[in-house]
Amino acid sequence: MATGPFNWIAIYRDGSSLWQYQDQDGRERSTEEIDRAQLATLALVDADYVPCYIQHFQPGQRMIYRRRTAMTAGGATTVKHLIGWQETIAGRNVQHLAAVCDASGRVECVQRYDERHPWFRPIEEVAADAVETKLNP
Amino acid sequence: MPATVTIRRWTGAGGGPTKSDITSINSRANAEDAHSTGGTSNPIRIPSAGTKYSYWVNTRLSCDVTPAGTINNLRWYTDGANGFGTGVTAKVATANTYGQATGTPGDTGDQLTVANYGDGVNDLNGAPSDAFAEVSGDPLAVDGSISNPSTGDFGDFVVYQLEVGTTAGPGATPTETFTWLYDET
Repeated sequence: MATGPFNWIAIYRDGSSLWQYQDQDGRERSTEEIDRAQLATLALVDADYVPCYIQHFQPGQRMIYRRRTAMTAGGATTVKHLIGWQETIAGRNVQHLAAVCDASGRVECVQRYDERHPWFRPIEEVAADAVETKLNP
Repeated sequence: MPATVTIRRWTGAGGGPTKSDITSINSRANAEDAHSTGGTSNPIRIPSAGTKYSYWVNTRLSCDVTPAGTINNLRWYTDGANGFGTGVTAKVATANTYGQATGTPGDTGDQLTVANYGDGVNDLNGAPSDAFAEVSGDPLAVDGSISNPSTGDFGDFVVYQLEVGTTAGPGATPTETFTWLYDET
């Protein structure tokens, strides 16, 4: 099983791609720079570019991605990647979400935002997001 | 690399506060406006009646390496179980402005209230509540965000205070861990 730290690679429908670390200067890209309308696949890869999680998108499915960090004063830092999609179907907000643990590579999936799970708290919109609603339907 | 975020404890006067990085260490809530990992010179007195308080503890996130996008969705929570021992409780609130902790060193801090904090009106966002009611499944929401290319302090303060009653025992309490949560795009 691949373990983190994981980075993302976005692959578009025309075959081109955008990498989190793509430039020679090492500048990090934000997922806000991803052209969501053209996005076909979002992959999380380890340092050797071995993918640990691959999310494919059908037209109309809107990408969800957050790198979520929990920091405990005097203790450990835990990172999970929230990755998935949401789509409006017949007026309903249909979702699929996975939480990928950066340390272990473990993947947990849910069909929708679950308030009882601490990693699936409501994810707020950012300006560049095409996401129209919060995860909570 | 992703943004580098640290937890800072603010102490001192508002004009030039000291911002101690407590990300990898503990920080004691004593009866003094200072950060220490093991200070014993200004403990909170155990009252013969009523309640004594620690000086309130101001904590805030700081971003030393700017995020590629945005950091937002700040949350704060405890493990939900008060492990400080008999007679010791903790209250928490958020604040939009820094308010220096006040009190009588070596005896008690002033109680954390809207009226006692900062400008006494608006700086504390609301009345403090039981810190151990803030848990991972229902954490304390903390306003604020930071976006590329900014660095530095961001988000509201999380301010907490220990309350010591007459039934508390002497000596240092067991350590409790508090957790910050944030999202990065």
